Amino acid sequence: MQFIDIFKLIVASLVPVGLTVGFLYLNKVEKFAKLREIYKVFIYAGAFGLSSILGTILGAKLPSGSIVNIRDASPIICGLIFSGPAGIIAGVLSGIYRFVSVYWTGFFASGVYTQIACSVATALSGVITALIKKFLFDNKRGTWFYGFFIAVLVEDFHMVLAVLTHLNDISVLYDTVLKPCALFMILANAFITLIAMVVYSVLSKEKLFVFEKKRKINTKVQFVLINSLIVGYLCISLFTFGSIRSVVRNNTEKEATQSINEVINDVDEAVDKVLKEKLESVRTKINDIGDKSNKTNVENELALMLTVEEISEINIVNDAGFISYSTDIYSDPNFKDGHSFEMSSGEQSAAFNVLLTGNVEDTYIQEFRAITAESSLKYKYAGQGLGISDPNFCYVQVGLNEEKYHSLLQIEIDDCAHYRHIKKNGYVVVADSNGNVVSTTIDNDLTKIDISKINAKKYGDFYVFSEYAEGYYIVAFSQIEESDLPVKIGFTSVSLAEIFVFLVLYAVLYIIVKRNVVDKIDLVQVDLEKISNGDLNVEINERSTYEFDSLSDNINKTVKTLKDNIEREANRNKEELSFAKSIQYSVLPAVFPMNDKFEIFASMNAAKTVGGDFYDFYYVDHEHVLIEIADVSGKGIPAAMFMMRAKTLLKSLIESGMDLATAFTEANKRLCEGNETQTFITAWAGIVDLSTGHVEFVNAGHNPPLICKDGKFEYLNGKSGFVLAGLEGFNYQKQSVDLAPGDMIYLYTDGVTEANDKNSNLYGEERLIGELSSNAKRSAKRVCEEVKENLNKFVQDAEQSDDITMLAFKLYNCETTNIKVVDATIENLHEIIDFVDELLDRAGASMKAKSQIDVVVDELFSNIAFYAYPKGQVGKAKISVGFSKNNEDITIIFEDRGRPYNPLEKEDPDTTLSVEEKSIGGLGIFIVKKTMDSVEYENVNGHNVLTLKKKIRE
Amino acid sequence: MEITKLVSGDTLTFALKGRLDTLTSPDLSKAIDESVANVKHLILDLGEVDYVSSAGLRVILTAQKIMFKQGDMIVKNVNDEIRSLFEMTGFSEILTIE
Repeated sequence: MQFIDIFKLIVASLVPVGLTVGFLYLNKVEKFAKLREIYKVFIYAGAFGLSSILGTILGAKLPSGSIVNIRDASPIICGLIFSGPAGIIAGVLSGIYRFVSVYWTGFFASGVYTQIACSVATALSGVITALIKKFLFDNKRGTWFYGFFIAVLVEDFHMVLAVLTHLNDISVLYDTVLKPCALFMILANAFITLIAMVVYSVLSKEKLFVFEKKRKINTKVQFVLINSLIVGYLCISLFTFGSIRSVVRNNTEKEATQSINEVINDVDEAVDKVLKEKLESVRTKINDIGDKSNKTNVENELALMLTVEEISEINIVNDAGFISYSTDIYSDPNFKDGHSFEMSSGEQSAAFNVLLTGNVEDTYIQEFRAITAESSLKYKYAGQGLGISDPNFCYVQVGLNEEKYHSLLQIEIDDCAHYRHIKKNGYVVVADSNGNVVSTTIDNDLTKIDISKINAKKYGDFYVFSEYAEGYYIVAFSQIEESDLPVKIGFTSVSLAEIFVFLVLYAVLYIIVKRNVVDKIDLVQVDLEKISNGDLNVEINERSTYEFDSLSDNINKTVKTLKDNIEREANRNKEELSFAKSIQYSVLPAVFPMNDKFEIFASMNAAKTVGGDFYDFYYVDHEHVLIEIADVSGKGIPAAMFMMRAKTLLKSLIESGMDLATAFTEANKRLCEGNETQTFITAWAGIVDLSTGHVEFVNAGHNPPLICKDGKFEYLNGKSGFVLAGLEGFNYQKQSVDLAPGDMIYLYTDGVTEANDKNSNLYGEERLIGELSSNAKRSAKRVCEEVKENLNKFVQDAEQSDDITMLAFKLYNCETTNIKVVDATIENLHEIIDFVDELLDRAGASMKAKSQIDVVVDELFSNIAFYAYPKGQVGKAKISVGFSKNNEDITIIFEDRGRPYNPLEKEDPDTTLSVEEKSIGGLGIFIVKKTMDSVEYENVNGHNVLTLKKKIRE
Repeated sequence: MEITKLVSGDTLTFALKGRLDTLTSPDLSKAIDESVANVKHLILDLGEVDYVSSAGLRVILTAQKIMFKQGDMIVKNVNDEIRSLFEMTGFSEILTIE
C-alpha cells in the first residue's frame, strides 16, 4: 500500500470525527441551537453526506486491485449522534453518488464490481441506524459500543449484499473483495464510528462507563442476548466451518481418487496392450519352431526368443499342467528330481491353468506381483493358449522381471498422466517404486518424488493421495490453498450472513422483550406511581400477555380492596365526626339574650375534623352574666367529650357561688385528675356586673378578647394563667375591666385568625380588628355576622381546618342599682341595715317605713345568716336596693346561694295565743309579709331570690 | 344597743336605746337573765328603741314568761311603729303596755 493511499484513508476517517466535534460546539452557539429542527436536519445531512461521499472519493487501492472506502461511518455517526432523519438523507445521498460514480472516469470514478452492494448498503446505512435508534434506544444516542456494533452491522450488511450479488463468481469476489477488504472495512468503519462517539461523550463530559448498581431488565436482557448470540454465533461458525471443510476435503479426495483410478485404468490398458502384443509375438514364434519333438531344438529356439523379445522367462506348459519347456532353470522339468514343475502347486502359477484349454483366444495377464518361489522377486506374467495339438504345447507363459517390465511399458505409460489435473494447480504423478516419475501432468517438471512421504496427508503445500497399481505408484497432488479455498469462501460468506442475521436477531429479540416486558412494566409502573400517590381510581389495563393480564387484575383487585377499606373507614370516621359535632352543638346555648341592658351573640362553625371549641353564657345571678369561650386541644370525639366535661364543670363551680378565679383553680384541679390524654383547654371567662359594667375575668391561656371602647377595638391584654388541665395546682388570678354603655367585648378562638385561604394566607388579627372596627356601632349579632361573612369571603373554598367560634357581648345600659354583697354572717347585719337606712334617708322615706324596713332586713338577713348555708360554711348574701321614679317605692332583693328555701311557704303563726303558748317560730317571716307591700320568692339558677316592695312615703 | 339598768327595791328597769334586733337581743337576754332573780316588777323602757325585730320579740316574750311567774312586767314608752308591730304580732294582747 502506498503512502498516498494511507493518507487518503486517514483524511476520510478524520472528516466525520471532525464534523462530530464541530457540530457539538456549534450546538453551543445560540444562533445555531435556536435554528428550526428541519434546518438543522438538512445541515447535518449535507455535512455528513459530503463526508461520506468524500469517503468514496478517498478510497485506497489495495495490491489486489480492490478499493477500500470509509463511507458508511458518516451516515451512522450523523444518525446516532445528531439526527436520525439527517443520517438517512446523508446515506441516501452518498449511496446515489456511489451508484452514479461508476459511470464516470478519472478521479471521481468508482469500481463497478460492487456497485449495487456498495450503493445500496450506504443508502440504507442511515435507515438502519435511524430504525435502531428509534426502536432500540428510545430515540436516544445510545452508548459508544452500540455505535461500534451498528457500524459492524451496516458494513456486514454491505458484504452480505456483495455476496448475494456475486453468487455466480463468488471465488472472484472472495479473492478481490472479501479476502482483502471485508475485515478492514468492517473494522475501519466500526472504529471510526466508535471514536466519533467516544470523542463526543468525552467532550460532553459524559461518563464512558456507567455501572448501575441494580441493572435494568433492558440492560440485563441486552447482556444476556449479546452473550448468548456470541456463543451461538461461535458454535454455528465452528460447526459451519467443520462441515464445509469436511465436505470440501471429501470432494478434494474424491477428485484425486477419481484421477488416480483413471490413471490406473490407463496403466492397466497399456499393460494389457503391451503384454498381449508380446504374447502374440512369442506364440507365433513357438508355432514356427520346426521340430517340436526335439527338446534341444525347442530350448534353443526359446532361449533365442528370450533375447529377441526382451523378456525374462518363457515356459511352455503341457496339457497336464506341468511345465514341459522352460527358459528358467527353476522351471526346468529335470531340475528337481526329474519332476517337472506343476503349475497348480503354487497359488501364483495355478492361476494360469485356466489356459489348459489351449485355445489361442485365451489369454491371461497376471498382475505384477511376487512369484511363488521367491517372494522378494516381483514378476509380471502373462499366458496364452498355443492352439497346437501337441500335448506338450498346451499354453505358453511369459514372465518379465521388474526392469524388463518397466522398460517394456515405458513408452505406453509415458502419457498416462499428461492431461490429468487436480483443480488448477494440482497434478497426478505415476512413479516407479524408486520414486522416479514415469508420467505426470504435462506442465509439471517433477522427476522424482519421495515415496516414503506419499502415504501422509500432506506433501509440502499439497494434499497427497496415492494408489499402487501394476508396479507403479499413482499419486495425486492437490494444492492445499486451492482446495481449501471453498472452505474460506463458504466460511466467510456464511459468517458475514451469520453476523448480519445474529445482529438483526438481537435487535428483534431485544425489541420483543422491550415491547412485551420492559415497556409494559414501565406502563404499569407509571400507573402504580399514580396509585401510590393517592389516586386510587387508576385502573391498570395491560392485557397483552397472560402474565400482564393477571398482574393487572391482581393489582386492580388489591387497589379496589384498599379503596373499599378506606371508604369504609372514612364513613365510620364521618359518623364519628358528626356524632362529635352534635355533642358539641348540643351543649351550646342557642337562645341569645337581647334586652335594653345588654346583648349577647355567639356562633360556632365546627370544622370537618371536629375540634373542641365552645362558648357559654348564663346569668350568674340577677345582675351578673357570665361569658366564656374555650378551645379544647385535640380533635374528634375525645375533644368533644372533654369539652363537655370542662363546660359542665366550670358552670357548676361558678353557679355554686364560687369566685371566678377559684372556680378556674378548682376546675383545673379536677380536669387534671385522670387526664391521661394530655388534652388541655384554653379558656377565657368573664362575669359582667350588669349594674356597673364592671367585668371580672380570668384567662387560662386563651387568646385575649378584643374590647371595644368608644368605637375602637383593642386587645384586652392582661396576665394570662396557664391552660386548664395542664398543670395541677395552678392558681388563677382574677383581673377586671370596666365597660360603659355602648362598649363591647368580642371573644374568639384562634380558628378565626388562623383561618387560611387557598394560598395558606392567614386571616390574621389585623383583618379581624379592621372588620370589627368598621362594625363597632352595630349590634353584637350583626358584628358576629359581619366578621363571619368577611371571613368566608377571604377563605373562599379553602377547606376549614379548625372550629371558628366567637362571642360578642354588648352593654347597652347599666342601671345604678345599689347592691351590697356581704358574707352571710350575723355580724354583718348592721352594715346591711346601715346601707339600707342610708338609702332610705336619701330617698326621704318616712320614719315608719324606715323602721319597718329595718325590721324586715333584720329578719331576712338573719335568716340567711343562720339557715341558708350549712354550718361552718360562709356563703354570700346579697342585697340590692332600687327605687322607683320619684323614690315612691323601694325594691329590695335578697339573694343567697344557700339551700333552696321559700320562706313564703311557711305557715303564719297564731298571734292570738297566750303567753304560755306563744312561740317565736315563723314570726320574722310573718312580720315581713305583714309590713311589705309585696314579697315574691324565686329560685334563679339555684339562687334564692326574694324580692320585696314597699311604698316608703306617706 | 345601749342597755341602762336601774334597780329600785324589787323593781328592775331596763332602759333601752337603739335597735333591738337579732344582733343586739342576746345582750338584753343576757342582762335580764343575770338580774331577774327576786325581781317583782320588771320595766322595759323602749322609749329610745328604733325598732324591734322578731329576735327582740323573742327576748321580750321570754322575759314576760319569767315575770308571769314571779311578778309582772311593764313595757313603756312604746312608739307607734313598735306598737303596731306588737299589735300585728298579737304581743299587745299579752304585754302590759303603758
